Amino acid sequence: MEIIIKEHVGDRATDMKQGDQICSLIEDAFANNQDVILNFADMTTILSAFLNTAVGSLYKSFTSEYLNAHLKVVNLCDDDLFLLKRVTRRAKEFYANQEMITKNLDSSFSN
Amino acid sequence: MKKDETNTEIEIVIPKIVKSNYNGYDTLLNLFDCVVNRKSETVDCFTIGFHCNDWFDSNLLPIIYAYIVYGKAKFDYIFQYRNNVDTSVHQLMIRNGFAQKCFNIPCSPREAETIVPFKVFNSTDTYNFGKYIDSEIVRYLPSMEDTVKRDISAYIQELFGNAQIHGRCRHVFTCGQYYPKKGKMDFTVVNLGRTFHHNVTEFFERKNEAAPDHSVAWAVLPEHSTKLNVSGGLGLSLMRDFIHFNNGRFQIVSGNEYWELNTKNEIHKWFECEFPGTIVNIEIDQHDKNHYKYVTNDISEDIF
Repeated sequence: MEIIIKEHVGDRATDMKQGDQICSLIEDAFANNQDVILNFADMTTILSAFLNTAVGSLYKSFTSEYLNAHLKVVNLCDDDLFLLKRVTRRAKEFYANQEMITKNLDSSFSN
Repeated sequence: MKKDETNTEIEIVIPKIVKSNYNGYDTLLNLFDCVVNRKSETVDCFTIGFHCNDWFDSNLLPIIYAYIVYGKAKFDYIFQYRNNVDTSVHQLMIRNGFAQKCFNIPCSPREAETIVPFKVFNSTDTYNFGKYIDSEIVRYLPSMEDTVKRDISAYIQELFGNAQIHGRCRHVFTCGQYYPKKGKMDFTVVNLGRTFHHNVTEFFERKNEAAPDHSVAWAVLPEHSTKLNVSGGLGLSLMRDFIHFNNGRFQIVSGNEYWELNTKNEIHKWFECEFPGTIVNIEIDQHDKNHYKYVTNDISEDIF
């Protein structure tokens, strides 16, 4: 399945709500065992606020291995690719940490 | 400040020089503190007078607008403008649309303009804010590469996003000014939302950890974010990195905290009075001809 970002959020991907919208589309496709191509063609602006929820949030449910195998990104310029990599690196740390906190809370409650 | 005993009116006299520096912000925070903390029993109207003023960095006008909005909303104060003197800042306020928005004096831009118009945005209106930045800021950066211009535009838009996400404010007030002699462009974004101190303190309380002394200094560091459910922490640090290499200036006033990054150093200070929101000012060196390229240690082809 190909998701053309501009068709869903316009040429400016600038806020978290737009990101949520894209994240839901990706999750739905994964739920149907479809691979996803994210196409950033003709975008004027892509901000970290958008990428945090569109892509970063995927780490709540999916591993790096799964995402590398099933999610492709096309038509992203070098600067935006750099930003996306920073977002994914930060998201990996953030959700790993979230998981650890949840596990610690679970174990302290079960004790 | 002068009080007129006959008609419950106070005149806020803007002093001779107000610039975008610690002293300038301190002056404004002190002058307008009377409209922030408690409703005056004797005063219901404030007149803002620029007749003693010789220089006012017009990018700071959104700060005055924020105080007007705050005073009107919280205490039902009336604000008026003493416009019976023809000062240079009076002309600027007419040119950049501030006088129209505040005091119904029609906007009248010049042909060869150096102003970035005063605007009020809904905090959710990221689309129109982006268009405003692309049309009004980028034109003052003619010698820069297109990719650099695009990045600067994005970093400024990240500041707007921060006001929306962290400030949880309803509106964002903006204005800018190009200073041809200095070759610098100043642009200021103001909101009346939650302060950095509020967000950072709450974040550390939830973690049962001690909050940092200076919330802004903590928040501008890469990957520091107070968001609880979503990763983040890039927006401010992108601007911070850029300003460092551009030889520009990056200032944040939030509550009573002041943070500045300039060509020489990083400054953390406090004010005696509190601003009821956040002011972000950036100064960009318009003559910067650096070629910027992102460098990463991550050579992996895998994105995720």
